[in-house]
Amino acid sequence: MFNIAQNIGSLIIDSVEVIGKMIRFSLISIIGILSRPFYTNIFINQCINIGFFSLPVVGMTTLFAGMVLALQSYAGINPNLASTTIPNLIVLAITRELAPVLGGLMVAGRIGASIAAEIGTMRVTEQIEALETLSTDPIKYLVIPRILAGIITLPILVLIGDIIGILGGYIVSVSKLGLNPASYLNNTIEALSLIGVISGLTKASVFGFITTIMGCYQGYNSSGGAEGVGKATTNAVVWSSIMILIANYIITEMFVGV
Amino acid sequence: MDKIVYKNVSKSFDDLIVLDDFSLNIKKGDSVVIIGGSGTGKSVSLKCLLGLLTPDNGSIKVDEQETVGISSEYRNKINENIGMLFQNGALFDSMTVIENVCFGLKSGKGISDRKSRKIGIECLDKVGLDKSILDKYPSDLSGGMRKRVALARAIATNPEIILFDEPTTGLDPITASTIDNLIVDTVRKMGVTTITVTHDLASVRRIADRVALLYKGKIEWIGTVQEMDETDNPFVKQFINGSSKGPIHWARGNK
Repeated sequence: MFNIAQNIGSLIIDSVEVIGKMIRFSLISIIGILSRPFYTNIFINQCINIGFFSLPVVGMTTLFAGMVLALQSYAGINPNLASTTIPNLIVLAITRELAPVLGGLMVAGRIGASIAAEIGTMRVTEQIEALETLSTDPIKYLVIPRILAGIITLPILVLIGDIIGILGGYIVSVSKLGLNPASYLNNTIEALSLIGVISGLTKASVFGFITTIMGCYQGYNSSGGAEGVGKATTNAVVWSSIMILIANYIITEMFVGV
Repeated sequence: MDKIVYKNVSKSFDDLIVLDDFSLNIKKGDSVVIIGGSGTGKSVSLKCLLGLLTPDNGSIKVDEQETVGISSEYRNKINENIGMLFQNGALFDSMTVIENVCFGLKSGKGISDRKSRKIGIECLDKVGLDKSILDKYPSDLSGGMRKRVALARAIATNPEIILFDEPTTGLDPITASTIDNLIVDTVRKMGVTTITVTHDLASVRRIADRVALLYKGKIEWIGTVQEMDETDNPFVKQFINGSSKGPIHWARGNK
């Protein structure tokens, strides 16, 4: 009994310690953004890596999400209302939820893991220490360009994902379900709301921050050779995915205003 | 004048005491080699000097200026004058050889690409490497070549102090001897102060002006190479003879 209480106690203390370290790491990184030097070349490379190379994954995800959504909503509604309801539903679901959340989770899997593995390997092979001995702040050199790239490129990815997802819904609705293309497009444009798109892009920006900070934090604090890097990579993906889902609820509540 | 002064430095990790009242004075231009078994705190002493680890207690001065508890900006300035050769080279594996060597010049000192490339090529030449490897990646190089590139990176910024963490570990005797000679040649020409951490006695004899034996977090003995060979100190004798019998017990956990 005493052992169980002790284990629970140490688990709570460890969790609080990790959360505290993570908050401290995030604050140091955010403060670091405001001061020089800024490594522009690394930032541009990271934008290409996080943004451009994630485009196929996010594009495929949102395309099929839009297509499936069209089929599912058709199956669940009155066929006479399909031409108005389906575009409405697709626009709402894609712009506010599916593109940012699915896109965020896909990027968390791809980028969170790669950042944690890269920085983790640098940590266990003393490359981060080498940076410090060469008068280079590893937070500014490794962490800040990745965080900024995540915050900036994820909304762009999600915006493209919105378009592809809506297009996916259009393709299925018109070619498979036989809806009128012109009326479908009109209804889609009417259904688009600025606040809906902005809420999706805000989410994407926050998810970009979560994914990159988790990848950087886990990699930066990894230890124990290859096994430690593997653990850091897994933790980065798992924790950023969980935090994306939690943040999604919080941001949705803020925008819905319930 | 003492270039580096460690005074009563202590460092522990949880319950493991690694440095315990560690004191060492190093004169300008001196080549001090710290010997001792694995896990006795040799590398920790170097990392404390570089600010990679913060001592729990004590003071470390460089040019009479305190380096413990200073701001990161001031730390960067101090580190501009310190070069480090890591045990496994710690070359940036996503960068080419020339990018590695020039990194400290460009990122740390803000020297232009063209000028830093010229200096980088000169440094590679000093360690016996030609232009054919400039665009190769560290993974394309042998262990000895990686050590040479790491040495070129360490000397590129023209530091006043260079730290060598087990420079010959994992190398065959001939390559190890070549690296030692490179260290002696390069360093003597530059007139820098060096601290080398090793347990390779052949290397000690080639590099050291003074030898310090670290045991249980303290300097147990210090003297010249000749004094090391002639001393009756039981710790030194046991270490030189590689005997398991004597006062030294290398079991970790110097609680």
